Amino acid sequence: MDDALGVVAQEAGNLLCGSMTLACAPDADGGWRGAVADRSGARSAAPALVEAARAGLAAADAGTGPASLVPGAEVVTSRTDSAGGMPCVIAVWLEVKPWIASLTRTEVLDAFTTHAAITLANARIHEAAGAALRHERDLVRQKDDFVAMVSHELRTPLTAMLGSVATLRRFDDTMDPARRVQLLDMAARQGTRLTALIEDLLSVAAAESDLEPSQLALVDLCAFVSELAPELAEISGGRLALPTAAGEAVVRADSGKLRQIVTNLVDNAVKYAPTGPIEVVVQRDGDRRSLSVVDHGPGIAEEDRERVFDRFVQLDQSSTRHAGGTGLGLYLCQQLARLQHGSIALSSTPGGGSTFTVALPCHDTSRPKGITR
Amino acid sequence: MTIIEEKTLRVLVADDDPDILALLTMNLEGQGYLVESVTDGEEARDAALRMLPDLIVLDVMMPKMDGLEVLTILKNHEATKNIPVVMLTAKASDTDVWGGWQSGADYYITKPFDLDELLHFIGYLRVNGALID
Repeated sequence: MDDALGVVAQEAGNLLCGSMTLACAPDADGGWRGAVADRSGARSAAPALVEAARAGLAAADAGTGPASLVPGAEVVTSRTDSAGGMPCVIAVWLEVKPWIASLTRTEVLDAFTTHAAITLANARIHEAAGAALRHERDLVRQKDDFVAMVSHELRTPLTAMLGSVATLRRFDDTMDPARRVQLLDMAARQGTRLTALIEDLLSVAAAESDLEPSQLALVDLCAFVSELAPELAEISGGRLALPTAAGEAVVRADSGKLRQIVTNLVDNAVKYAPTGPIEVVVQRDGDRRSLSVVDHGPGIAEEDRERVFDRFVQLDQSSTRHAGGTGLGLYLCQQLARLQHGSIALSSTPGGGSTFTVALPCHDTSRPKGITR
Repeated sequence: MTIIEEKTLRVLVADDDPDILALLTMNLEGQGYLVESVTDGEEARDAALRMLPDLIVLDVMMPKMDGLEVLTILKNHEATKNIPVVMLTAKASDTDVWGGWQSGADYYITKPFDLDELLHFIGYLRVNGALID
């Protein structure tokens, strides 16, 4: 749009034999931009000049003052939203001080400004289309990258599983029993890993396309956690700790999705924090209600804290590969939280454990006020 | 399959997945080869330069340095440029396979690979004298 402004300024200057011309208009974000043109060409206008033009237009609109507030300019015209156009201000400094009625020049410039307004509007649409196209290309590339990653993640356990079976066949009777056991275990383990991966991928796909729309209802977090406790205790191998929450904590949530999130977070805690209790805590903080899963493991470094929510990111590659981690758990949790208009945050210090907090819209039963974020 | 040389073939295998590495090692040793195995790209490069194996089996996606980078280094190094390299990859898009062939690999197999195919190709390399001492 800067190019368009420059051209408009130059043409207006040519039209009126101006020594200098200013053309300003708002961009897509509402911030005003301007171009100044004179004999040496067109360039960006100084912010002060643009601001004066904008203020002048606002004053004229409000009826509080003349539009011609651009200092020193002999002819100033402006448009607010005209049909097909957009707000703009054009100001011209004349070489020759007018001795003929400047009204004529104003009329000429006025007509020009109407067309300029349309030109600038088109320029802005063009710019927006370009940005949208780049965005689309980025999405396509991200999708291709994702497909490549999924392909790799699925083929790896499949290779080990099929390779194990093929090896058993090749060696047949000549294989020693210990090795046979090792290979059978490998096939079984990789098959399980593949199953987990496929399930996670399907969950992610369902969450991303919102295939299972959220059944939002009032959920009492304390009661929810108590009901889930036996399952969580089993996942955590007896390391579960449930501190009692103060008061009630009612949220609007989909209990099925919330269950998936919490079990996933506890499962992660078990994998990454080999010792220490795993706490599931319900919190009230003013208007906010949240549920946290706290572990006392090695914690997560600052540079990794954003990455962990990305797909297929596993911080400890070696151990989680064997533990069957898919790298999709946290991403899935984030999507599931989003589908309930909630969010997940991570706070962690290396050596000091990690806390994953799920925040959900609160519904305070004493003062119903709809969904708050 | 006629064995031309008496010498035992030394193979370097690189893959970051320990199970796949174990399978490759097991099967190659079963063929009578001496196998050294590594789990990342840097180790693969160092081991290749150190031991000058008769054959290298190299996974494309590895930590620290990926297989294609290792391949480029080895193919440009005087001591290792004639060592046949078999690339393994789980990526199956046409551009990736083409990229693999372009990079100078002697063979390119996608996972899940057929063990028979891999072993037959290695056998082919031996019979045709491509595996030199």
